[in-house]
Amino acid sequence: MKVLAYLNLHHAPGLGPLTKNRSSAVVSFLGRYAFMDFMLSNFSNSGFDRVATLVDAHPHSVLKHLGSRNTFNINTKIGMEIVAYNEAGSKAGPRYNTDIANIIFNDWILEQNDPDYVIVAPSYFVLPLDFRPILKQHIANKAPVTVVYKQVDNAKTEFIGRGVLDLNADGHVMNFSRNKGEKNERAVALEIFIFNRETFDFLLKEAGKISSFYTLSDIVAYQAMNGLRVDSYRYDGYVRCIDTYQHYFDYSFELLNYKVRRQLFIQNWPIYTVTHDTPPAKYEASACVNNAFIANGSLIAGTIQNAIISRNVKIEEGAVVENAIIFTDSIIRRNKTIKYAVIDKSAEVAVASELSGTPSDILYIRKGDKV
Amino acid sequence: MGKELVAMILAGGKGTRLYELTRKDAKPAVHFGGKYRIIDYPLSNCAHSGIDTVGVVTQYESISLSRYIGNGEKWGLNGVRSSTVAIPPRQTESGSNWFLGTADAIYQNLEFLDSFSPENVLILSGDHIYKMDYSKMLDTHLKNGADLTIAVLEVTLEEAKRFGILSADKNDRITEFEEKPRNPKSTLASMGIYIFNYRVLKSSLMADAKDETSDHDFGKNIIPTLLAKKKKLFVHRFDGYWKDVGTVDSLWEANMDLIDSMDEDFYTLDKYHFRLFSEDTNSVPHYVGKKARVTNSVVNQGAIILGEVDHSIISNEVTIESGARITNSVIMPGVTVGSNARINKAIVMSDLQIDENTIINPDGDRVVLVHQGGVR
Repeated sequence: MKVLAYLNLHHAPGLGPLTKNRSSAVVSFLGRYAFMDFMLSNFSNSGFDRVATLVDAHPHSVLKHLGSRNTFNINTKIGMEIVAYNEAGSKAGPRYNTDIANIIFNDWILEQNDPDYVIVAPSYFVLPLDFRPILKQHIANKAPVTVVYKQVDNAKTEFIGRGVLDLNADGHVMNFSRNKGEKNERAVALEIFIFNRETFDFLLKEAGKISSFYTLSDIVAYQAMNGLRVDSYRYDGYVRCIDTYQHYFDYSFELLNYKVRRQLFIQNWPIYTVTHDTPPAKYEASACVNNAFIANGSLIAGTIQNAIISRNVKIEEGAVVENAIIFTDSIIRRNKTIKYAVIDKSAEVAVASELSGTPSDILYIRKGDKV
Repeated sequence: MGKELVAMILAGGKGTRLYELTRKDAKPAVHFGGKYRIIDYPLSNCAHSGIDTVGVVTQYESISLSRYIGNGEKWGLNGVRSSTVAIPPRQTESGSNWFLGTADAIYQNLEFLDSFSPENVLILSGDHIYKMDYSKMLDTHLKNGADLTIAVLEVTLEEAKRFGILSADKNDRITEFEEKPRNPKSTLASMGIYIFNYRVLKSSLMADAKDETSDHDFGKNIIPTLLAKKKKLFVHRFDGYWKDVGTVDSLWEANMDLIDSMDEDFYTLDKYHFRLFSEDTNSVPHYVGKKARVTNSVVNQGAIILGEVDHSIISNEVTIESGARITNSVIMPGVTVGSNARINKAIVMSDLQIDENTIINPDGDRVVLVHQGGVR
């Protein structure tokens, strides 16, 4: 049984300033990860070794993160960790730059791997997901398509704009729609699909006949209305939809709480990422750190309260960092104060004595800026 | 054309003076600095010195060490022209033999070296903490047209009694060599790092192998013999940090030295010039709790600190529960220290569970080793 897994970076919500020049899939998370690491680790931990990442834009940022290494592969010869980019689609404009167009543009991946089952999953839903029981159910039920959903009770405020499902008693999808926040109880589609190969090929072909703008979600929804049986799998664990800058900030901080953190980082489910071989972090005598994640390579001499500090960050003596996320290689100079802020990569806070946002208006300092 | 320089790391020793630390691990595999193992130092040095071929000679508890070394990928020593091989003792046509001494360990692997047709061979130990660019030592060796070059560092007269001590003339040519002299004539200590001209190495090892009275040891036999034969032996002076970590005390001291050395310059050097490579444990960044206090310390990813830590090394996957206080200690990977425990001036071995309210070494008169069976 061969499985090909696509990590789908198309049609992902932007994260404001963070995604101006990079894919949301590579936005730094918890000081160490890129969002794509979570789904790629899910693939790897589920035993899927043929993985293609469908990149919609900013391929440089994705290539830089993945590099040439086989971070997620099980067998480095049989396994495949390929980046698929649709140059024609991206030139034709955003409406043409669909996940389906990318899969077809890079159809050699499908042909060469010749899978029995195709899995498609996004990187903007963060969750620890074992695909094996889903695939098992999919095969046992002889389903053409299985979609994964989460039954939530907060859809009025969360998962806005995401797909929601109406299910019948057999768990088959009767209707797909968008969550406009009308009610709290919803079956939210996680944009995770398992296809039989024939169904997948059929859908790719049909989509082209209907609309060049159709996405995989669109064609599944369309065919479901027109008689295609779509099964569902209910996932009950931790999941967050990283869909706005504010959510990015809030969901990061929520994970400082151990009770939340242990729902994402579960036993025997490692989250892989590209290693940088940074030395451990060092705390100086003047350091005062509370409620924070600190990544390796950081040199801490200042005060840190509720913060996420990435690799190779320097917090000098007298500096105060509160409720902030600081990206790789940034420096907070002596006696400078940062509150409710995201400091992007390689930035330096050296001039302004205090930079503060608010809990609902998070200050952003651009990559490489000196302020 | 053969390789200009091939490295051999002597990593077979048991390290008896590390006691329980080396009960299940060879000395080079002992944890260091919260993230590393001792052998990461010579292997990272090789990587940064342009060496692409490394044989790691193993013997004591060789499986875990071989597994750690793998194909050299952790140090980037798995490129197209690279080769990293862990070499345990083996059976051959002439029978099977344990390695009898440092020289014998190389002698028994001459065929391995022959296969690379090396011009020179670098012999290293797997139990020293130092960052060194061996290409500079090779320059010294070639400039002098030496048969053997020995890396040396200046020590005090008192320290000299514990080392192999060399005397050299004004051209740095070695005139005398004494192992652990009672009355040292010089303060140039051998670091146990040798570059041999391969022809000279091979012929002296073959001669030594026939000598039944020999201990088959570089320091005791090979070097004195070459010196007596008036071969061209030179020193290469090194003035950086170097430490032999063969005892619990010296291992603890080297860890404490690391804490004190990790300043801005250290991180700059590490980032741009001389990164120490190691295994990545796929751990979450470490977490420091709401009431925790961490000062003067080195903390690796995967740790959770809810208590107090001062002047200590905290490795990956270590948990320090609230109210616990760790001072002047090295906590190895996977340890959990229970609430309100106190640990001072100790090395705590991997994966131990230290119960709540345990008090270890409050006086701190000496360094203690905390192991499965108790406190040494």
